[in-house]
Amino acid sequence: MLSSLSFLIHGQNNNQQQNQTLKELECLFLVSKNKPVRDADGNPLSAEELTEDLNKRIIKLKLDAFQTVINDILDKLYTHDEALHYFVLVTTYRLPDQHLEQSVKDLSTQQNLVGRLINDNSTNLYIQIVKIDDVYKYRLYSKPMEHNNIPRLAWDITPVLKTLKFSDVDVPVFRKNWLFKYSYFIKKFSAKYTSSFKAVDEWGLISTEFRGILSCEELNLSVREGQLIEFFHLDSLTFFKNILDMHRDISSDLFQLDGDNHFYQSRPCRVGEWNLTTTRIVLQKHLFLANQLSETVRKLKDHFVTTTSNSIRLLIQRYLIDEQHIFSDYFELSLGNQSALQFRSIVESFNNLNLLNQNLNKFEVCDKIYETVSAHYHVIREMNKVVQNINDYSPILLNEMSFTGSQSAPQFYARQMWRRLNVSLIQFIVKSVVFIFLFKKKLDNFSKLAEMLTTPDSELMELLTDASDVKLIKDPSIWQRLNPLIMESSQCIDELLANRVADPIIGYQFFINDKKNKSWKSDDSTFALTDIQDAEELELFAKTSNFEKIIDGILSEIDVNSTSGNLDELSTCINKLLEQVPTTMLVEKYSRVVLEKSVRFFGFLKTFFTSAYIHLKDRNILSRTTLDTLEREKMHKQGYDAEFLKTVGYDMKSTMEDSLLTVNPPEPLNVFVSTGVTDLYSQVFTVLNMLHTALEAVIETRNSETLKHEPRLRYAFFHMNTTVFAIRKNMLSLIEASFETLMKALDFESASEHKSSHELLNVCYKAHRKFIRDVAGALMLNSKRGTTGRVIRLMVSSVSQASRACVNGDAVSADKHYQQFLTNLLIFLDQCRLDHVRYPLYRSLEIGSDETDGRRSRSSSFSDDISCRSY
Amino acid sequence: MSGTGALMTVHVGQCGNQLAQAFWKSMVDEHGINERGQTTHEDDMNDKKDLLFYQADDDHYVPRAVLVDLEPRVINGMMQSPSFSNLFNTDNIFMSDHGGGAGNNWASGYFQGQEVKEKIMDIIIREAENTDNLDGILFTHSVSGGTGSGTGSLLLESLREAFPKKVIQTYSVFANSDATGTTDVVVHPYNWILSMQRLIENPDHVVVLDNAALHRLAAGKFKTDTPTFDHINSLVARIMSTSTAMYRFNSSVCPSIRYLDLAPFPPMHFIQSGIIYNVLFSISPVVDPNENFTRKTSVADVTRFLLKPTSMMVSTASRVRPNDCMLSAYMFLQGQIEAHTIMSAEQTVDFQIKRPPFYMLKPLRMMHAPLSPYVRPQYKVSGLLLNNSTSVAPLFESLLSKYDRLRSKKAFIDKFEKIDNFSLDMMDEATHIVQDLLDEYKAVVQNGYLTRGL
Repeated sequence: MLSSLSFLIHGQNNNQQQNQTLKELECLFLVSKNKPVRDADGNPLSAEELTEDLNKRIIKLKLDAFQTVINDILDKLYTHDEALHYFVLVTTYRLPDQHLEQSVKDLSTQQNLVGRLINDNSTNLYIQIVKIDDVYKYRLYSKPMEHNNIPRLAWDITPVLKTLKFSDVDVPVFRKNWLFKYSYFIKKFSAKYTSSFKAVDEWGLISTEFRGILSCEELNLSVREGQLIEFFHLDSLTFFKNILDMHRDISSDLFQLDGDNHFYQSRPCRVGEWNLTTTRIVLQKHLFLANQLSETVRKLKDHFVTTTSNSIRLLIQRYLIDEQHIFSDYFELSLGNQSALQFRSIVESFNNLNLLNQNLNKFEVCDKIYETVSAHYHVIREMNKVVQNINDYSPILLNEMSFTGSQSAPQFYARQMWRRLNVSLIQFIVKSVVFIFLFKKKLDNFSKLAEMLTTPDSELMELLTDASDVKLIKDPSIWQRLNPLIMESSQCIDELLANRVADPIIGYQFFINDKKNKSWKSDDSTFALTDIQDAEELELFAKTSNFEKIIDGILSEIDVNSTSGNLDELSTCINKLLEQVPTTMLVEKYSRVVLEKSVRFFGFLKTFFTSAYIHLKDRNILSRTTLDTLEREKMHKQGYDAEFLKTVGYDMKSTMEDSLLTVNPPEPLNVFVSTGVTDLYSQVFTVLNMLHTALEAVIETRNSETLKHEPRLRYAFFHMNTTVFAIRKNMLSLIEASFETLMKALDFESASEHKSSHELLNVCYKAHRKFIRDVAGALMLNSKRGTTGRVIRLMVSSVSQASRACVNGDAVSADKHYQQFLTNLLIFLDQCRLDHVRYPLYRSLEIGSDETDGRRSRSSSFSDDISCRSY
Repeated sequence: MSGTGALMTVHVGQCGNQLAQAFWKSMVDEHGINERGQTTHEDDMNDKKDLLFYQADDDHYVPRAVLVDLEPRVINGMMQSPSFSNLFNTDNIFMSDHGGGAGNNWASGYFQGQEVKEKIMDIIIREAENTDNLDGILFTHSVSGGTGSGTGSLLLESLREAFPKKVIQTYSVFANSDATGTTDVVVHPYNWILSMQRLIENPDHVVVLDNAALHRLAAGKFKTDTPTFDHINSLVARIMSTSTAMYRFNSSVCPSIRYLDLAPFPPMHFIQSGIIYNVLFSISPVVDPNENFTRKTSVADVTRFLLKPTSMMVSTASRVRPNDCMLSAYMFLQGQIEAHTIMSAEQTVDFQIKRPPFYMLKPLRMMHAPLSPYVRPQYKVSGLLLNNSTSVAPLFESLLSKYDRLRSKKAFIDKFEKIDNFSLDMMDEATHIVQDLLDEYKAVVQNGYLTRGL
């Protein structure tokens, strides 16, 4: 057995020592026992499988010429000794390709099993190997040497026998592709391996290893450059750490900063199996991005201020600093550094990059990092714009912007960032709302508070902006009409709610102003005096301290990490808040007081301007801004509200005959009487006054001697009286009807729908506007504005002149004026005819009004024969 | 002069003072004043108490009323009633010293009055001077008795003389002119004709209250065959109260009695009145009271009803003559009325009204009269028509013919002749004047009225 084995391995002429043969025998035994070559499942490969593998290998190694030789030997072994056959297959399997190739060539040639065709002229016919142009040819009928039927192997398996440990079970096949795990520099690498590498094998050929090195990019590069190149060869973790550091603006061996604080790649680098080019390409975009980011962050820092009163700026700064930390923390966590994370709860919700994993796909991870950083960069860049023009951005606008960002940013990381901003803005806005309702601190005295509230640049203006003109506000409330403050609206907070926030604030301003006025003067002209008690108010403000809790409760429902996109979050919070803020209740109460007063005020205005001329004796006073005290007292006795009487005065500047009176009611009632409205009231006053004057004049003629024997004149005056009376009565009735409508609209007690007082104030405002329009219509002031007034004035002056003439005993002149009156009456009726709604009222005034359409009267002569009417 | 002036009332004679009682009873109610002149309600802006009351030094309200009678019975009775004992200013009450009354004799009343005229006028002038702005005087009396007609006539003359520019409006109760009716004063046509002359010459408006019609209407309203004076007086008080409501409750349409232009052609200033103020009981016997249960009273209904000749409180008004014309009229509507309903009603009634042929205007003015803010109205809509129409003339004609009959028989003429200073010429003069008035009424419905005499 020993000799057979020895022969098999070493051939006949071996002179080996016994113990080596014994060792080989041990190998044979162990191979048979352990069957060390296994497949992926750990099952030993059978002889057939190994044979097949060998055949493939032979083809692969282009040893086709030796196929027959090898198969012959194996066949023989198989027939004579199965154990040996298996042993040979295993050892051959383990034999490195190069060794197999070489030894099979050497030994088979040596044994003359294979011929080598040498294509040269020195033909050695005795050479039995055929070797032509390095091509081996199988020699027909040659046989391997045999000893006890055991052939000698035509290849050398001894290297395997020396190194292999047969006790080990083979590792699965795929692990053959093991990766470089080393982070040594190539020099070390070379130092370790060059010794074992041989550039040329014993056949004078360049070895495969050397060939590999020759095709190495780095070497080629070096050769091209004509000098040594130094590069990093990194393992992936170090590589990623360097990249992440760079993105966090930390320099490393690989990435260093130049004079402009820009990152550059200090040396070429390869990572694992990536070569320099691949790595460079991958790194290029990262470098670009990192520089963009650091540049932006630097700019951003330049815009940071340490002290500012602009709290939205502070908020943004805080946010940006936090974001930097989160960004950094995220990378720390990805690098497996668990400790000292400031924002653990936030970063843990992110997609961990899992850099510690050995099997990660570097391209994929690089891309993920790139995506995250670019997301961060884009948000930072947007924020940079915001910080630069912070005054252009209101909290509401930013909130909307961040909400949109949190919904539509392409990267998850960016959406998260926007969301965090969104949440902090919601918190900010909600707190601001509370803040402006509670005015930061409990204020000891109200005058201070009032001062704060009425200074236009006080803090509350951060959320509210001055619209400067109420016309710019869509559907303004009465508070906004008084002080056109608006809270911005966005898709996150609709106009209605924004106005609901603004209203109580403005209302409160007025309330406070009222209170302030009260402390200055001690009359009862302010609203807040008795109606809303101080104590109640103080109690309300005592709740201020609880508000921290209340706000927290309201805000606790917002989840920073969810980007589900609930549009109403802000609205919901503010709505909840409004329910709890004491100011809302206070203003609600105040509104009610104002409301009640408004209704009374309307009543006063209507009565005053439709009847005051009756009581104002000296109607030509133009020199006083307000009715003087005496007059007021007298008027008060006539039943006019003393409080409101004070608001009425004469307009000294007015040159218009019909806008003599002004109304200056205390805030906030002044909202109802704009210049236009005052003007209209004044015109009502004037027109009615003219009619009244005329009527008075006619009445004066009643006992005149002139009329005694002048039935014609009597009739004339009766006609004038009836006409003026009817016009006046129609106007007053129409105003009365409008007023009834107004009062019906303001009858909130019987209204089924419950509305808050300040909504009711708006109803009030609108109803009053409608009333004003109706009154203008009643006096025909709206169509052909002014013309009707002029005609009435003409009629009235005719009436007055006729009356005067009559009283003076001048019947002829009285009659002349009456004729003039008739002319004017016809003009007036012509105008009435244009007013389809009101014409029926005046139809009865038509001279000879048999014809309802009045056509006849226009054509009929009214001048000569006034008795022409046939009955 | 402008502004809403005050009104003073002067009540003369038994009937006049009975009307005073009813009138002031309703006034204190409507103005929220108790029997001691104190306000019972919080002041309402529209309540113009000072129109009829003035405030004494202790701020309690005192009626601006002067009560005059030649016999003390009615006034004393009134002053003993708890409602009035503390209300009136006793300085404003004139009762004759001897207390015998005028004995239903105009001449007696007139000439007795002359003895005390100074005193009475002193009271009235003092009262007027205490008032800033007196616009008019309401005068209640009857023209059939002695004091109301005689002393009343004298006072009307004096008042006109003293207040030439004030509006004097009398509420004159005319004796029952019905042939079948009974009257306790046989000489009432004499009294009437003598009073009539003063009523033609002095007041601005005479609201003619025909006793017969009052009886009839009160009977209808109170569902009794024998209405008492109280019933009748409350009716008159109602007329007086409604006709002054505009001034008392601050109407800007007609803020003062001066605005009332009822008599465009004096002396045709005899006003008939028609009133409807209860949805349940129509005051007109023509309308079945039950009818009103079945329908809702609307402005149009009230208007229609008031414009019927039979609604007039003049018994002869039912004798409609085809050419009777409305010279001027005011309709006051009260209650829950929306302004526009009156306006539309006004347009629809226009064609129903008959006017003098030369009229190119509408004699009827309809307006909403305010109600007392303190008294809850029991009715939805009520109304008063003050109508100056030629249809009042038959009443005068009838009374004139009664006078003529009596005079031709010289019946009871001695009663007048025995009064000092009285002469029959006074009666003859009065007859002429009444005749002239009747002529005037005839003329005004003619085409040529305006150019008459030119």
